[in-house]
Amino acid sequence: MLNELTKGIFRENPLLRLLLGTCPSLAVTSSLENGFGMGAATTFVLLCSNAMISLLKGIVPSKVRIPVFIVIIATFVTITDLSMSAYVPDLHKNLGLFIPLIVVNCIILGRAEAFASKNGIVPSLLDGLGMGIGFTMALSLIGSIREILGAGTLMGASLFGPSYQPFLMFVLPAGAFLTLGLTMGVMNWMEKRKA
Amino acid sequence: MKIGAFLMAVCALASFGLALTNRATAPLISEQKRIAREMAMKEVLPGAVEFEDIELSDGRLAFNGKNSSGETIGMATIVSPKGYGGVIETMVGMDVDFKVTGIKILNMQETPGLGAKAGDPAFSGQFKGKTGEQLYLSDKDVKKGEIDAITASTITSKAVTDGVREAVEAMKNAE
Repeated sequence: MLNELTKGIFRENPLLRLLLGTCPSLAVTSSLENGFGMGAATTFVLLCSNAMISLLKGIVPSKVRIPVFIVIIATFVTITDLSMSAYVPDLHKNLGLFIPLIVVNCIILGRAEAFASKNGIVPSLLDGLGMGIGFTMALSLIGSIREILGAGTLMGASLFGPSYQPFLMFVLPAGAFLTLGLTMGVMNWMEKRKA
Repeated sequence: MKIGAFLMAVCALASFGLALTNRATAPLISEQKRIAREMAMKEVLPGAVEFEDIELSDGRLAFNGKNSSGETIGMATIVSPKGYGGVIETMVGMDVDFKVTGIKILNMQETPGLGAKAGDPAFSGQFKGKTGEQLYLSDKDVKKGEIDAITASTITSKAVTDGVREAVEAMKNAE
């Protein structure tokens, strides 16, 4: 059972190993705060949709399962969007368009289709939580690297003093691709060494 | 038929859940927006405590700012000049002689580390006390003004400067 929780964190990390959800990952990871916020929002949606879809397992006619999954996911995303806009407006403003886009994040539909629709509620919740944590960790890591190199700050606090000349490219889109690629490379290298 | 009914039931439940969430969050969201707007207004019009919405003859929304004794000490409006990454929504405050009292960028998608520096006091602070004729870039505009552009971000600098000038002109012409 515990395996369902831990697999998403490292071995089947959705971003760095399954390569799901790379589009929002590239777009929002310009700082640790944004990366973590996006990860947390995705985790919340993932937990809710996994639970709901697992409960509806066996009731949903297989012909319309995808539309049903999408309606469920879209509903939770909209709830998240409205709640974030009401309670954390600054973060909501930074993440902007990418919150509604969680609807089409393939991690969520992927887990619904591959896991939650075939398993009970407890394993589905654990799977959602593990995948969410893995995704949040990956986004936070990439966000931290890009923020430290690209702006010389972490969580907005200056790290190297005013004389540091930030490596600007890392907060720009090119830096997102480089950081994601290098992080995946390190993950693959670690995996190879273990084997 | 059965499938259609099932889909309809799912959608009805989803709409119900969304309606409840919207009911709970709508007042909070509009309150947050109001606070953000009022903070921006206080920032661009220091000393003003009360604001009154006005509509200019060209349909532009603006507001008068009054100090604690009820006198109008200035006004502010919002402009949206086109920058490098999209429109730069900027609030511009000015006193009754149309001298800029402050500007605040509300929304922009300028490049982080370059154009996004437009929000830093080093750039946006320059506008304070300037009149319409001074609101040009000091080296890039044909008509020399007194605003120093951000290094490597001429498009952003020019957009903001033009926007502020547009706001001042619009308020002048509205009188």
